[in-house]
Amino acid sequence: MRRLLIAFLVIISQSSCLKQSIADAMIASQNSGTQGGSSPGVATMTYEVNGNTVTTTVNDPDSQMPASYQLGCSKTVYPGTNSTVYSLDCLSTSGEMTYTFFTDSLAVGNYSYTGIYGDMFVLGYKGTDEYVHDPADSISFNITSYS
Amino acid sequence: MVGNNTNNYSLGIGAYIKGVYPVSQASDLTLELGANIFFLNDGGSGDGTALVPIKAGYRYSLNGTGMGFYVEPQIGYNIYGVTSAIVDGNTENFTFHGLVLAAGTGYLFLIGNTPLDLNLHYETIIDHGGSDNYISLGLSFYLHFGKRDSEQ
Repeated sequence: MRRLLIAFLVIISQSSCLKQSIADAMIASQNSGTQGGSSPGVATMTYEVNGNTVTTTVNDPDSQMPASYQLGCSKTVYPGTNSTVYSLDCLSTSGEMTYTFFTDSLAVGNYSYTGIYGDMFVLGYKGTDEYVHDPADSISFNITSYS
Repeated sequence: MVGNNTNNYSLGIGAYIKGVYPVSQASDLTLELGANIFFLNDGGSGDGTALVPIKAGYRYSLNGTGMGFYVEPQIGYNIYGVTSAIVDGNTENFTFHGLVLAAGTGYLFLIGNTPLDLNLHYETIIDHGGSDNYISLGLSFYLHFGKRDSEQ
């Protein structure tokens, strides 16, 4: 009994005393993924417009300029309000796509925007702009994971 | 909290509910569900660390009677944990689970007919390659739903 207890105490001390905190470990893991600790990564956005596939691929997406990027999701203040939103933006060779997540804390789940909230530009394709406009119109995004 | 990067934490608070099943005159199996909150010394923003561990343990009284001084190793799982941290000037909340290991000692005694437990525990939660550690000092009382054979 005594030996088991001593062994248990040794295991606990070795498991805990030499480790960084869990938050620091998660931040370090997060930073190693964004600062080239491993491969720089590739970001890809693919969608279809009337059956035509549009694909945008960006190598080393975290090195894009914050004020002008080709593919990214940024946290910003919605114009004319004090509300924080997330804006998903994609510039492709055929146009651009943008979607605003009306939330101040992006999480896994479904985000939907319908025309009853007012016109919202979502897509430009070969010179034609598309909006969520009619009350019956809607667009939704399903976030399955993020990091 | 104790360990790396815990200087900014103030004293925390916690509560637990524990089931005890005697297996011998001197020892019990235990099952404990707890909740602990540790606040950061950051001007009262409410940021800090919260933990909800569930642990199974083996409590052994050193004098063999089921009362008095005891030792109790525990192992379990952190059902829910969240820590606030400042990243690039913004507060981010990191959620985690993790393996829980704990070792404690205490003193079981009676005041009148009320059984009390004065205890000291060291607990570590391991996840994502890091660990959160804390020392707790507690006083609890027991509700009996049965008695040891020696007490009947």
